[in-house]
Amino acid sequence: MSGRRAAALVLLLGCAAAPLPAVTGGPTLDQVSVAVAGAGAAAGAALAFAVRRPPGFLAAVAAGAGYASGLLATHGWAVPWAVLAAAVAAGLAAAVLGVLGGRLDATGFLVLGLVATAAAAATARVAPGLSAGALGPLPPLELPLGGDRLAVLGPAGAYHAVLIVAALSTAAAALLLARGPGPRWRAVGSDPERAAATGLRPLGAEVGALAVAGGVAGLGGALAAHVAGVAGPGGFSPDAAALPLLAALLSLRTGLVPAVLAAVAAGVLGGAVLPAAGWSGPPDGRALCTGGLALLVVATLPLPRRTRAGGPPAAPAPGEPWPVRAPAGGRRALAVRGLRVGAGGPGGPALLTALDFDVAAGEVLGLVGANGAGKTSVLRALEEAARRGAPEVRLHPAGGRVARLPQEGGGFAACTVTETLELAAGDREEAAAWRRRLGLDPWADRRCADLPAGARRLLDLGRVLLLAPAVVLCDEPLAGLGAERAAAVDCLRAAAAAGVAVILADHDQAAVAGFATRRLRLEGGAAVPLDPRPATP
Amino acid sequence: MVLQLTLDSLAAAAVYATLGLAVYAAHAGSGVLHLAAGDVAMAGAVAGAALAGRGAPVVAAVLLALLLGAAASALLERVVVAPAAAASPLLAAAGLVAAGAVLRQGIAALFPHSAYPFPSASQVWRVGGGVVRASDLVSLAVVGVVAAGATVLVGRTSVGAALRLTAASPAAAEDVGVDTSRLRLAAFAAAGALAALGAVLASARVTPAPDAGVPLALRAVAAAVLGGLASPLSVCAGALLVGGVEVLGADAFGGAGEPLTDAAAALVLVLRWRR
Repeated sequence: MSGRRAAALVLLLGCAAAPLPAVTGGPTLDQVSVAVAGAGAAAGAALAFAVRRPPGFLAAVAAGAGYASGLLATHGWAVPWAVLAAAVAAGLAAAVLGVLGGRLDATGFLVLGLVATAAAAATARVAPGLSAGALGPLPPLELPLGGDRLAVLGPAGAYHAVLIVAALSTAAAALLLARGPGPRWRAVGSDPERAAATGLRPLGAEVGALAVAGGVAGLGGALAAHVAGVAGPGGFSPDAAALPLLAALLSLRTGLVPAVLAAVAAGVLGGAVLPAAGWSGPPDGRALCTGGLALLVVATLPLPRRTRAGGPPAAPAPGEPWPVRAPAGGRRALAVRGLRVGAGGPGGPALLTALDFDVAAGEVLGLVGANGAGKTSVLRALEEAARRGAPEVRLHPAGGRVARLPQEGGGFAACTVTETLELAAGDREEAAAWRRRLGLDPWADRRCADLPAGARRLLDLGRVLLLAPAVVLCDEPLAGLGAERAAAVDCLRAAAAAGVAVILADHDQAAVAGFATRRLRLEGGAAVPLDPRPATP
Repeated sequence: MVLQLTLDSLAAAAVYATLGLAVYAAHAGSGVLHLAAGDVAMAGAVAGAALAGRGAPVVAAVLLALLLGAAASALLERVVVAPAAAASPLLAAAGLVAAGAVLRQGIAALFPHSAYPFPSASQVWRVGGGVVRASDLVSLAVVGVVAAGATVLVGRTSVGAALRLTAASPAAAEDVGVDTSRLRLAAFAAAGALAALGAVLASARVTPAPDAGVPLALRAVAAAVLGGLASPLSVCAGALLVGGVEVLGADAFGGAGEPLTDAAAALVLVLRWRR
């Protein structure tokens, strides 16, 4: 049993057997329920952070769900249905915020969440009903079992039921992050651009993760409201917003379950134990523990995440055939006519005003030039033009994929080697064959962020070729490679032999001359042919 | 009526401009969004107000506020930003939210009252059907001087050149001999002093309190973003819009104007911030 599963089990059993000395009075029950809501918000926050959507708003979502559920219940809805409806609404609200903030980077989204929370707090201060204070008393929990409603749960039973549901939702969040959509979410969170180039949909993944995060947080908030018997706008405060954010930050280092446990512990300690011990502040117990958790997060921020033990270094198996697929839909040639290349993107100052060249299927074209000549910009411009179907970049016959091997990084930092290859392949066996051929089997379960640079570059080459491209644009694919260099050259030759048109940009002319069939040099804003074009293979 | 709305908008804008300049200064020196600016501002303003409440001269209270704001912000830079910014500006910004929560609790523990009124100029004049407050005139004069000074500093001095170079590329700045660590510390200290100044200027309308800084700072962030975080004057222009929305919203919708201002701030972020 993995550590994460064991921790989830301990949390579940601990909740079921939790002693109840502090939950006999209404106010204390209220405080405990806030801690339970915090568990949902913390688990949701970690999910949202996985897609680099730092959630400054989940405590407000949880508080809003508690209020909505209470409102529905006081209007005659059965409590379980009211809770469910509130959780779904919370998920939708988070998804809407995800869509609205789709164009923002992570920092912008963090600020958007905080501003949304401030807007909710301001609304709560002036809205009729909310401004008057808490909504209550709410109908207590009733669970429909076997067609007959279970007797109304007393405070102790409700406390246990809600803690168990909170633990289950946390475990479900951990499971979702590890399996199912988890790898896609983490890939998008690691590198949205690379994920999009691998065929994933960053916005869809972000919105999906946020919807689940909002639902989990909303479930916790709604259940907690019915345990306490009251709902109010307290969750809209900046301190409430900080708790799930802190848990998410902590989860970057510890993983999800320990971070949620820490958030719950901080909530219970500050919300129930300290008040029971006579601490009234200021600051009050909950604020004190939130501050303590913040100190813990601040203290651990600079430290790298604990890495998992791996095996021996990557050792590509020499001589074995590469499992390169022929281009999807058949071999294709690339024709470039009049392509404008701008520095830093299409709108930037022109590096080349009208680039013309052809690459046949199976040919390796070397693109050489000094640092800063525009090699990376040319590859980016080719990829971008092919993606939007610009007339300057044509494939013959039409169709097929143009894939780029970026110069920096490799794989998805928060995904394992296996997950990265499977996301590209969509097929476990093919991904396993590439992993074996790349010599990465000993590191199958290691996060890409923890791989040596050479192994990451090799892995990324595998990721790109698993997409079965007609044209592959390699940006300095041999830079920084040591023992892996021969394997990378061999792999690219195998790709060309399978019919892939390869464009290889490198400032090292000798490296390119070794296996490029033709070369272009970028200098003075023009592309100058260095060798006569050989016959098309 | 129009005159009064204009005067009130200018006064609100002066506060957001000062706080927005604090966000701008920190961002220019580090690339990190100072999301604890509101807490830093209140650390200084509450302490200054407490000192003034014990009979100290107002000048001493303001100086204490500025010094404490600068010290708190510099401390956050050393404890949170310097270690986390190397990993990513996002971690540094999120870490500042967390550290802001700690600072807020610290202020609440040291200053247990719910609010600390800061002495401000209370004189008013009636001009053309409107009321001109001396405190608003002081705010406008101060922000004018600060914005002009910041514009000269950023645009025409070697420190400004170093700031601009560091914001564009810290590595390139270090290559030409800029001590980016000291520059970042100085930028955060200046940001803290500016934030505290903003809270002092705002004290005629928003009484300093431990939890009063967050909403102010978030609107100031929106003002800075609206100005594209491009220059001190663009931040002031953004603040003018945010202040105008706040005052006009309150005039048209009463208490509902406050959430309307936050919604406008959110809209600004969605429209003006890019990946």
